[in-house]
Amino acid sequence: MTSDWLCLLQDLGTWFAPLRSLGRKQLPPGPGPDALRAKSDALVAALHPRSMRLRLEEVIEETPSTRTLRFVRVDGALPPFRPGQYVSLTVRIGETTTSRPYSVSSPPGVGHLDLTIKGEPGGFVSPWLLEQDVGWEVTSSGPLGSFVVDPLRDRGPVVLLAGGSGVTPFMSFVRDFAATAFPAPTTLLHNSRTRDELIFGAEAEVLAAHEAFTYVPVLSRPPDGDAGPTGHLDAARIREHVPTLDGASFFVCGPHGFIEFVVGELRSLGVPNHAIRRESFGTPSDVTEVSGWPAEVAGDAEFAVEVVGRGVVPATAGEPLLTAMERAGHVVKASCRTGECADCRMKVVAGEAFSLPDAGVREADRAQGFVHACVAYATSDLTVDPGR
Amino acid sequence: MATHDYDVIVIGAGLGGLSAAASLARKGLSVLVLERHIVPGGYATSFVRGRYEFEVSLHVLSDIGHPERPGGLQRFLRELGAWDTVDFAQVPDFSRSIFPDLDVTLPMDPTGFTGAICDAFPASAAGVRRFMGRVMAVAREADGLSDAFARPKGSRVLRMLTIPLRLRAMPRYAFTLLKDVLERDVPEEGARALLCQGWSYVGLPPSDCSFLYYAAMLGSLLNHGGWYPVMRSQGLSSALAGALEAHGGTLRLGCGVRRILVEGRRAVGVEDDDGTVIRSRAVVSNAGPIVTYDLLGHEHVPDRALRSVARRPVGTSIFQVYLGIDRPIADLGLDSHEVMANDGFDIEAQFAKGRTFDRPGHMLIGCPNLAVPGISPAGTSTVTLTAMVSGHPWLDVGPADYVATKNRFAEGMLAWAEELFPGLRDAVEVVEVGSPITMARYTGHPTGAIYGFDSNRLGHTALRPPPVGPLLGLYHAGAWTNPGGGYWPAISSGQIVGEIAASILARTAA
Repeated sequence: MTSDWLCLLQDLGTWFAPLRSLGRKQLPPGPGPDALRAKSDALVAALHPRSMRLRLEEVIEETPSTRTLRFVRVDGALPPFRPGQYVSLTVRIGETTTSRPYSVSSPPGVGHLDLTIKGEPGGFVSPWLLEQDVGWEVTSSGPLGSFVVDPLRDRGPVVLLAGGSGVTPFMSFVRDFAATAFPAPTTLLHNSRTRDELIFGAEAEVLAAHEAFTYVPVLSRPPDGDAGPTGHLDAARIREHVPTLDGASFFVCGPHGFIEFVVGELRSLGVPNHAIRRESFGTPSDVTEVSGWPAEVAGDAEFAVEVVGRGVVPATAGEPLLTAMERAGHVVKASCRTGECADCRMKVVAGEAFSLPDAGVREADRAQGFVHACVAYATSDLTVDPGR
Repeated sequence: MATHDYDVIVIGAGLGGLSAAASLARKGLSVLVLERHIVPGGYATSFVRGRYEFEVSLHVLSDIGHPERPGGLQRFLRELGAWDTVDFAQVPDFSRSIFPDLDVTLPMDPTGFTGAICDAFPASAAGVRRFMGRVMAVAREADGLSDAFARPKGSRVLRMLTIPLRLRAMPRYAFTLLKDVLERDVPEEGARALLCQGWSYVGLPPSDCSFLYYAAMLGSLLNHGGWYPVMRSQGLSSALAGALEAHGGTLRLGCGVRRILVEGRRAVGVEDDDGTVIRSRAVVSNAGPIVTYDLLGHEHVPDRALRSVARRPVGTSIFQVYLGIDRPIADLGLDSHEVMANDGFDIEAQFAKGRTFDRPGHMLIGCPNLAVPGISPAGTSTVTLTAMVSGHPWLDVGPADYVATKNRFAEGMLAWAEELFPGLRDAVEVVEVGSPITMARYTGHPTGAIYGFDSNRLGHTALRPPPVGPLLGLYHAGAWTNPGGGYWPAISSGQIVGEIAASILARTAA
């Protein structure tokens, strides 16, 4: 009982503490709130700019069909990035505004960003980009993506498996490792059709002088008499050049079909899921072959997609909703175009859409009918609301 | 007479903004929410990497309660018509707390929690019981505050104003420090450390933390149980956003606000990121007073408001390591959804380490799979390592050193987790790191503060910046203002703003 009264007295004492401090108008040490906010915002902007203005400084011919576009930033310093990350360029071609993600092929810290781009015949954006002259300016995202060699996770040998232009992020890895230090033995297996089309072949041969780096070009359609490994990156080829599979981290990058194939081969070798990281360039060439696609819908079926507040656009079942909207002249924010960044999240309010199995849609969003338009396909007439 | 486009514009779709918006829409007002990010929720969201979806911030939710004894949050969701749109799972215990020479599981109910601490420290048993008695007395009155909202009849504002007259424990501890009560009641340091295991839920060490605030948090969890939304906190945010739209409100994502328009001494609308001017009768800002006053322009903000904000310390941030692990949770030896790792009994030292780049002294190892078994693909688990850190030292890290600094810090946490649960790192498939700068990037809160201003002795609950802003037509919702940080406080701030703003708007001509 007595102790409770003492406590009460002590409590009364604490009641006067604020009155005392009010008189002093004490400020906490350090910068004031505006300075704190300015400093906080400035660091965020330096690390993660929402957009960057890039100017084309130099065009480097890598192969007959592939060039490296070397950009500098004109509206600030380039943010640091992690090798393996990409930037998304926003371009306007005719009446269409669209974006494309490109892995950076240069290492960090060199003052410019190299995007190595293959001019795919019949492609919409890449051939157009390769026509641009030095001095051309374009808006891009900041560096994005999580396809990186992460020292917190990748603590064993690093195995890089590239298909065609899928070698671009790996070149950033290898150039960075060569300039600093290889964190572990690193092997690059690069599958290319011919030696002519082999991107970065000469430079990789030179870098292979590093004890920790092994480079193996594998040609799928070599001309007669070409020495060196041929064929695909199948289980036998991987086993031949990667003696210790256990504890290694495997990075697979290239077209969708290439990734499916190589991941299958790795799994057949007993490589666990958690040791395989993948970065897909683009969506499946034929979505109707993806598991779960409604069999009754043909890939060339035409549907009407009503975009809330912006009218109706025609869409083919086999093309992503995002493509259909962009072709109709809609400007839609999009960065990765493989689902992960979620920029093109929108709600299907009526009708049916098919999402790729790895579309990256949050569970709570899925339950409410949200899709990521870059990896969602109309399978009926439908209505989407892009504003929420 | 100026016309308006909406009755209310809400800046930011965090928990406070969404709750305020949904409440106001439910009362028949036309509401527009502008959010710069692409998903609603603020910190209450999730992100996807590979085949894993990670909870960004939530460890455990208080104030849901059981159907027969609903907590304030459950009642609020029911009132909005959102209760049926989100499922919750109950978490089994408060924590498994690991110290160098002690490993105790604390149950999530008042008797079990108190009993476990008394068993571990019998010499302190009487003091522990006395301390917990005070905690539960505060919690009962805090519940009464949200009960005041539950009753359907009469003026809620009037009721809110008269509540202080019926309070006993809360005024008594209004300016009391957690440390003072602990040292008065509990002789052993270990027992004090166990009683303080929830310190990271309030973000302050006992020497700076309001006892009232800590007690309200702890008591509410123990009374109402701990809950976890089955679809993560994004499920809760989506439910609030869904309620807003169901009541006719509009949520516009990917579009923030450049400035708040002021005419005379009144906030009359906003200019959005696209440069469009949108006029309204009231503006509710979920951005916290520091950012809000910048949006207003300091020339429009009364000096006393600027000074009041400058006096308040900006509170803690967090450092998070999100792990997607290709192993079932049982194989990892983790058996509590919330493991609390401690380097010793000295909570003050643990907090102080969070101002440095040293390995933290306190770390939460969250395993949502133990709350919601199917939360990651079959045979896998998601684990989140969380340390309370100050964002201030991170502002001085140069951009070029940032990734290396962040990885070093995360490595320390991972190494500690591996020491406690050997094998944890062997099957890591996805790792993502969130530093205070990451928190600042996605929310715009200076230093990546997660609870707004410190809920210290002079800055908790009613002592925080009030929901009614310094200009006519301007309101604040969110963790920075009354009643404080954490999920339920942020949501209830929106609920309070909804009541006050609706009542004021109803009394002024449209």
